[in-house]
This record gives sequence, C-alpha cells and structure tokens, in this order.
Amino acid sequence: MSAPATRTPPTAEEIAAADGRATFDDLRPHLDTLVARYPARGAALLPVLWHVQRSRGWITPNSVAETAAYLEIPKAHVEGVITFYTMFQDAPAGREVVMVCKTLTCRLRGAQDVIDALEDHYGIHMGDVTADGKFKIEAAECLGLCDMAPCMLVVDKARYGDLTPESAVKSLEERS
Amino acid sequence: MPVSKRLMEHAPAIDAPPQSLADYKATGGYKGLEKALKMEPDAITQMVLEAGVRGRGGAGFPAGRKWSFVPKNTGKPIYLACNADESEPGCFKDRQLMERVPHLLIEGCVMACRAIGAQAAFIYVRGEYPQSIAALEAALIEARDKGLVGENVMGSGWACEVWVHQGAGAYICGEETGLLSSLEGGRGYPRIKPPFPAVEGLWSSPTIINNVETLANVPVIVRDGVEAFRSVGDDDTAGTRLVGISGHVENPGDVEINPATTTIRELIEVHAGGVWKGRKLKAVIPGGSSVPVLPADAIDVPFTYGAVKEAGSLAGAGGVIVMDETTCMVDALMNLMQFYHHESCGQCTPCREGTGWLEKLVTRIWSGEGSERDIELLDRVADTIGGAQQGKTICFLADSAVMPTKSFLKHFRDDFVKAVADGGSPVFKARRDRHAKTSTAAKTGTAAKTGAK
Repeated sequence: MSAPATRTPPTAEEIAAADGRATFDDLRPHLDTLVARYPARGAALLPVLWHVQRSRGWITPNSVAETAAYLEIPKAHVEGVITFYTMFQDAPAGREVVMVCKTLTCRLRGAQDVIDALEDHYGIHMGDVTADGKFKIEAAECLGLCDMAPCMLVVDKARYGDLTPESAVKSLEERS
Repeated sequence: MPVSKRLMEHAPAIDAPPQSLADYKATGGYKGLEKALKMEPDAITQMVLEAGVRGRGGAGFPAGRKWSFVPKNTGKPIYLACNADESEPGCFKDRQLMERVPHLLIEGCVMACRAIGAQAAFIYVRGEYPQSIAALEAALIEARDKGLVGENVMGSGWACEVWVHQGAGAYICGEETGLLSSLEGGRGYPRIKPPFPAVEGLWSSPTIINNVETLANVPVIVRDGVEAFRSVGDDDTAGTRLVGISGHVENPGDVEINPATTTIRELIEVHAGGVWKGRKLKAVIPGGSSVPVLPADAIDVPFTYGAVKEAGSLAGAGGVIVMDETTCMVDALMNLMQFYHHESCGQCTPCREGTGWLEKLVTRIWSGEGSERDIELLDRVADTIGGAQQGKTICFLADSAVMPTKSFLKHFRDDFVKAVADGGSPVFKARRDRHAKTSTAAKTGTAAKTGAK
C-alpha cells in the first residue's frame, strides 16, 4: 500500500502538456455551437468545461482564464463550479478516469472488496493516479448502475458491472 | 400476475441498441404528438391532469397541475427542463428508459413544450450517464432530420428545440431548483421557494421541471386517452410505474408494473428472483435511499404512493433496495450518511453540519467507539436538522438523511445497541481482523475519501 494521495500542484510541464493538446482557438468553433443553445452565455459553462476537459485531459489554470473570458463571467465563478462538481478535473487525471461506486447497493454486493483489490493492484489510494499515468481511480457515490452492482465507470467510455475483485482488475488491465 | 407494460412495451433488450425512429413509429410513436398538434395546448394539459399522472422523480406531484401553474402572457419565454439527473441511490429506471426508448422521452418533451407554451426543452442528464446522452443525441438527430423536433414540428409551423445538457457529478442537481442553478451554469445550489419555478425558473422565466418517466407517460396519455391510461393503477397512482430492484436479490433489474396489483414482496420474489443465496429478507428501502426503511414483515403492500406511505415509507423514485439477513444496519446507515454528507451543497447550516454529525456518530458506533448515548444523539441530531417544511433548510436533502436515520433506529435499533456492546459493526471487525492478518495499516470502512476534492 502506498502513502495516501498527495495532491501536489501540477508542474509547469504538466500544464504546458495539457494546454499544448489544443489551443482555445481550436476549441472555439464547437464551443460556439454550445453557447448558441442557451439564452445566456454563462449557461454554457458546464458543456464548455466538458469540451475543454475532453480536449486537454484536465482543466488547466489557463483553461479557467480562457473559459471565463470566453463566456464573459468571472474566473472565480468558473473555479467555484469546477470545485463543486466531482467530474471536473483540476489536476492531471491520467489517461482515463475510473469511478468505482461505493454507495449502498454496490456496498451490499461487495464494492469494498473491489476497491481494496484495485488499491492493492495499483498500489494507490482511491483518488490517486496510477504510477504509469493510465488511470485516475476514485471511489464515487452512486453511479445509477445499481442493476449491475458492484460497478465502475470509465468516464465517457465504458461501464463494468457485476464486478469481482479479479474482474475489476482484469477489466482495467485490458484497457491498457 | 398481470404485467402492464406501456412505456417499455416495445423496448429493445437491455444490451441491444436503442430503439430507432422507424421502430418507434411502427409501434405508434409520435402519434401522440401528431394528435397534440391538432389540440389546443390547454386541452393537452387538461388530459394530463385528468389522467392523474404524478411525478415519477420522487415527489409525486400531479404533472397536469404543475403545468397549469405556468402564467400566461407574461411576455417571457417559457422553458421545459427534463430532470434526468437520476442520482438517488437504488434508482436506475430513467437510465433504462433513455437508453432503450429515447424517442419516447423526446416525444414527451415536445408535447409538454406544446402544452405549456415552451419552445425549448433542456434534458439535464447526469454526467455519469454518457450512454444515455449518446442515445438521446442520436435520437435527436433522427428526430430533427424528420422534422419532429426543430423549426417546423411536423409541418405545423411551430418551432420546438430539445437540447441535452450534461451534468458533472452532483446529487443535488436532481433537486429541481438545484438543477435550474446548474443549467444556468452555476453550482447546483437549490433556491428558496416561492417563487416556484413554474413562475420564475430558468433565467427568471416560467419553467416546468418534470422527471424522465413522467414525461414519457405524456405520449401514452394523449395517444390512448385518459380512460385507457387510468385502466392501470388506481386513483392514487394512475398508470404504470417503472421500478428498479437491486441489492441482495438474485436478478437485479428494472420492471414496469401495475402499481395497484404488484406488492413490494412480488417485486422482490417474482421480478427479481427472490433474496439471493437462499437467505432471508431483513429490510427493504422501497423508493430510493432517501425514504424510510421497512422491516421484512411490512412489504405485503401494493406499490402505490398511498399504500407504501401507509406501510411507513414512500414509493419515491421507484428504487427498491433489498437487504438480506446478514446485513449490518449500522454499516448500511453509515454508508448512506457518507453519501448525504458528501452531497450536501453546503448552503444551509443544519444540513451541512448535521449530515456531517450523522456520519460521524454512526461511524463512531460502527467502529466500536460508540456508546448508548451516541445512539440517542444520533436520533436527536436527526430530529434537529430535518424539516425543510418548517423552513430550516432550503431543500429536502437534510430530510433525506433524516428519514433513513430515524427509520433505521426505529426498526433496527438492536443492531446499533449490539455494535456498541460488541465493539463495533461485524463489518468493521471483519476488516480489522483481515488487515491485522495481512499486517496492513487498518483502513476505514470505505475508501478514505470520495472523489478528488
């Protein structure tokens, strides 16, 4: 078992790498179509942050400033929103984010064993990024997949149900 | 036993692709919309009112009555927000509906817009449902292509847009005013009512917020008529209900039932294959994690709003969580209190601090550090923080933590007393012993931290 999650601030290299994946101007054409759906510019904040995050991997400090300027809203508001929602990442989050459900139905069917197995296999605590940078694995509140309990979600990509400690590890290893 | 399927009658299998527009139309799809476009908007509302369909998101408010609150001629635009932020632990029926019959929801949204005078609907889908979003987006492309959504709906000259809006992980956005705050681009903070959203909602304009399943009933009501709709269910719970059954059962899943003729016991024993591993039943949470728990001998009641209430709980959002005889209720309650504490938005002190207190107290009992006094304190904190109706908090999240707490203590106090006397929950002791064997540092009952923040 490794030490508990340490949340050191992103390095300059990490920030540059994420920002380098797409310039804000690259994102603009799609963002404009999102903004057009709403009667107020600021309403597009969640969809805009999703697009920025998908394009850059996580929401960098520059992304916050650029999003605020683009939507004509205060930077503090953007930061407030990012920290309110669990699915927005404000630090490097691995290539894929894995949410492992920990809430009642999943717990009744063995979620804790699944969480233990993933922590042991990757030598991490929930909320950490794996050493190889492939996954950020976090314990999540109910994913709405109670018919598949215990379950986990690879954000935007896949969901896995009826997990055992072994199948959870195998499922992620097969994504590598 | 009669099974009355309406919403899911023609739904493809769970793992099959979503129903296509062609398949939906072949089974009467968009016939309701066609009919509605020839009706006066108020007549649609009247039909929904007479059908008596109540909100399927948990609160059970009559949909037609809600629609009738929209003020006329304010000069402001009117909006429809579909609540697809299905985040209540134990509930997954709306996900099934969106991913299997997406056009049913889209047709319902367009018809509701027609009735209330809206020209735009936003379907707010929780961030954890990318497959639901994909199904809806694909269906919307088909619907726009065929003129069922957009500038000129079915050639009527009337315009109606439907947009899918993805949430980003926050239970509170399923609270209807929290959803509005989120949809406007903010933190999902619930708002003080009044003004009610029907008068002042999105961007201070009249807004109707309906659950996915509620809206999916609208095409059925208009297409088949009020009488046909009311032939299933009873006066209290008209129409079918989608119910998800999960936890300690052989076959977890969702089912569409006639609520008047299907008991909670049948949901478990017939539809979900019974309690798993041949074990006995201990407890059932019938309507999603926020409603009171029922003991095993209280489940021979039909799944109507009225009957479940009489039995001491609520049919809520239709999420039946089953717990077998081996379940430690201290462990189960601790898990739920972690959930409510994590999901409290933090605006109101009784909720922000109170859910934390509930979690701390039940954790103390769970880990063998509790006393009889802590059990009393748990009960007392629950009494203190609940009561949105008394104006203690803006929304019902604190009450949602109180209902399980009070009912767990009422029906399963023995488990708490035993945990105090025996040095903790059996779940805690098993973990402690296992970790002692592997000489790893003892951990808490669940991962130390939920999420990154």
